[in-house]
Amino acid sequence: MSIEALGRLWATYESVVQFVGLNAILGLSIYITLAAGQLSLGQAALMGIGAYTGALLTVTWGWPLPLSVLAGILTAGLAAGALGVVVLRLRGVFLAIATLGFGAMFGILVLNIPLTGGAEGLRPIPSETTTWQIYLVLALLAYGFWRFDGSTFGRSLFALRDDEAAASTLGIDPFRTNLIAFVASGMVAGLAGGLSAHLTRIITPRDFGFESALEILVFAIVGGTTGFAGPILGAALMTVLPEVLRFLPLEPGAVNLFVSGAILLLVILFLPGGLISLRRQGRAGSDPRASLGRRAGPDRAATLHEDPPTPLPTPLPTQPMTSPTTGRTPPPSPAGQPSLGPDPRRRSIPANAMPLLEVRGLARHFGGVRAVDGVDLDVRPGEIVGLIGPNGAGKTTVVNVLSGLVPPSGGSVRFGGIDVTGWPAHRMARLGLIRTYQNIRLFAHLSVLDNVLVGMTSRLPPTLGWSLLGRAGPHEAAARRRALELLADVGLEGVAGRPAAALAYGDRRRLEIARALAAEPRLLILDEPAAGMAGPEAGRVGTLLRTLADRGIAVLLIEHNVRLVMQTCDRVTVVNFGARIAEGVPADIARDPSVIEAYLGPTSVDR
Amino acid sequence: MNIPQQLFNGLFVGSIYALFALGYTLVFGVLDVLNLAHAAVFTLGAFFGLVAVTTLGLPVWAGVLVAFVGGGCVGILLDRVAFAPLRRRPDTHFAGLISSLAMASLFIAFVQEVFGPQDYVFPPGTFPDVALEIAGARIQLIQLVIVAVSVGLMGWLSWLVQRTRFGRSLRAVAENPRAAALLGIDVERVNAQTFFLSSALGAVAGVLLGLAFNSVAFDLGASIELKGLAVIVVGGMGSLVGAMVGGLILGLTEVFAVAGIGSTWRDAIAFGLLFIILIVRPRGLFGRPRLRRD
Repeated sequence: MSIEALGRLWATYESVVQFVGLNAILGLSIYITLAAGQLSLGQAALMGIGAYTGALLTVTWGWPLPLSVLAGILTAGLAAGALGVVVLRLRGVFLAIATLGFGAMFGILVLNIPLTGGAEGLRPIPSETTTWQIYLVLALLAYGFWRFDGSTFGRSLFALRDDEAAASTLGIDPFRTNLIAFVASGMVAGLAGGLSAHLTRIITPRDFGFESALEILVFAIVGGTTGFAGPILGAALMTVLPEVLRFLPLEPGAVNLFVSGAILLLVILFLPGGLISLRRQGRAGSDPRASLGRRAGPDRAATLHEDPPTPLPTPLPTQPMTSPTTGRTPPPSPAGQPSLGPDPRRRSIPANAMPLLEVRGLARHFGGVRAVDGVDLDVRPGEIVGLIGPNGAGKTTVVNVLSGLVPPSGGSVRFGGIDVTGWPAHRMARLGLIRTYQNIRLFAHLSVLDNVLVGMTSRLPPTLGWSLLGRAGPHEAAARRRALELLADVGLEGVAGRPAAALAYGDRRRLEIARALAAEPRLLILDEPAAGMAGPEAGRVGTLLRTLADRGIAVLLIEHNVRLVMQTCDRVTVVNFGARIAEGVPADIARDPSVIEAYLGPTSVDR
Repeated sequence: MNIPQQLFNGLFVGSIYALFALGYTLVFGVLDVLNLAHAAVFTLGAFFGLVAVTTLGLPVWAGVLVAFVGGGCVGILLDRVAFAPLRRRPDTHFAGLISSLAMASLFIAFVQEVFGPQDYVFPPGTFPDVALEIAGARIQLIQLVIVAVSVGLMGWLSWLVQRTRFGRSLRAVAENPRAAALLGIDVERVNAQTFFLSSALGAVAGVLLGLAFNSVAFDLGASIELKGLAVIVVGGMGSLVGAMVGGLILGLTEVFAVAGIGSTWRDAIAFGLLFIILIVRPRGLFGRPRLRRD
């Protein structure tokens, strides 16, 4: 092919290439919110805000392109922030509807204020955006997203997508994190808007309406939202396809709509991970049906080897917890010396020590149901307190209230001498109150290692800055080493790269404990950690708790395994029908008539 | 301002909004998914009616019936293709939303291919052109009939849900599909029936709107789609009463706002209401509060 022919071909298709780039940027903008599990359909309007801001500044005041685009980015970011403050309390379809409403409002506004040229559109905008500019911006963004996936911020978003409650009880503030994601997403959309306004030379409200909002979503869904490459791929496919279809002798509007609908339907039904999951499938055999959501680990397993695990300095002194998944056991501890904590001496908690947790008259009512109705509870540092009671006694509700997931209806909670009554979960976690869940709530699509790293999020400074510089950064590297140590302590170091969802039941319990320890608890609340475990295995849980208490960690243990409670706990509190019925050392509790009655029904002594 | 006239106009527009929104909210209330193909079904319904009256020469009441049955069948198709395969997936809300969007594209592409981009009108004399004078308001007979049909369908649906055996199964499935299945209710059958009803009502709303303005085109649903979503949020997601009251509130507010401040901002009212409700009372006027999280 001659140079001339190539030149002609380029002249014909340059605009397609340009729109592939622009649409890829748009796809990346919605990817940020999808990464956090939020479906925002306001992207087109945010793009429009960037486009109109940039174009007006250029046309009216003759600003140079970079400044106009920058102003567009900032305006769109501000708008996204304002929208986020209002709508981010909502979830799921409500958020989607609210953002659609925002988009519709923007369209009506632009249509009706004189400044924008109304339905006729704004024109002529000096054409200044060039192909290489678009691709330079795209390359920079793609690089940023590549690094973002491995930063604490990226992990926080992915964790929120998998399980918001679990993430918040590890110290991640859902509102703040989502808001940052929203603003970032708005800024990227505004950037695309500014660039496109100076490319197309005319912008009308229709360019940023409902159809455009859906189109942007289609880029991300078709390409896949499990990695930043997905939206880029999806945008490329969905932009090039109409050009190919133009050669068909059919009504173009209908054909484009039909093909995009058909592709979307096929992807959602048969390839929920999008096009990029095809590649992953080929490489690692991960299940593409896992979810629309997160990527499932194999990628991370590969990157893990950049940081070779350091030799474990100090394995946990407990009996090795054999991992059924790996079949590996950590090397036995040299002398059974507790090595996790600085103080290897046997515990001696002065009875008058200041309680870390002081609960007075705690109540939580659901409608007319008094799930918790006046519970008192003290836990001192280094002490293991058992919380037991028959099924339905309100134990889990107590834990939900203490960890901040459910606000109390009455009573007071003090933690470390501070009144924390009614504090939200992420603030409780940051204070050092960390919990596990009865039904195990891991971040299923994150790798085992990433689960532990999410646990550390609130203890780490932001690492996105380092990530953008292309390095792990000192904190991230240290965090990874620490995470691998914690995994080794529970016998999971061999599966660090696997998706958490792939673990066996016992391993999931262990991982949840490792994740909780990563958050550096001062008070660790364990909701039935030995559920479903056999005797010896439950015994190992008890040994682990003893070790933690010896380090000065306060432990609140909710458990049905009475033997475990009696062997492990320093004190036991018994609740029934939401109220405390007994409190004392295990031996006394075991003899307490009211406790026996609560468990076995009214006594039958005089039968 | 002619108050009775405005009141009636608001009631008229509101009853179509309400009928349309009922379909959205019915599916959401029972299956907990948002069916974004509802506006496309609305458009299809208008074309079903149009073809029945124009091509087949049926009387207008039969056209409405054709739209009802045709729309219902499209609803079952929607359920089987776009929702049923996704029900066991953990991300079923999100995936259902996307797959229904895809179905909407397919439906509209079909209409565009068959009917092209132009506007269609019903043949002259489809409906007797009679105007009535009631309490100072000038009312077209067709408007009155549309209000009556809408209100009648709403009443019928309420009766169906509250008073029949089918309604009891429906409410049981809405409450807890697993428990309903354990009690011997055929959940898949109830789901299909829900989609039939929802889409049938949406299709009838479409043909009624087409008749009222004597104009049917492939983008008929675009104008009502987002307003319908605003209505169900305002009324409370999943609440049938909420959809009806929400639709009427929106219709009345729009009409009075246009009479008061002009038509420029008419379309902004739905979203203004939406945001006020989202800020002040996110569960909507008739939404039930959630007792427990998790």
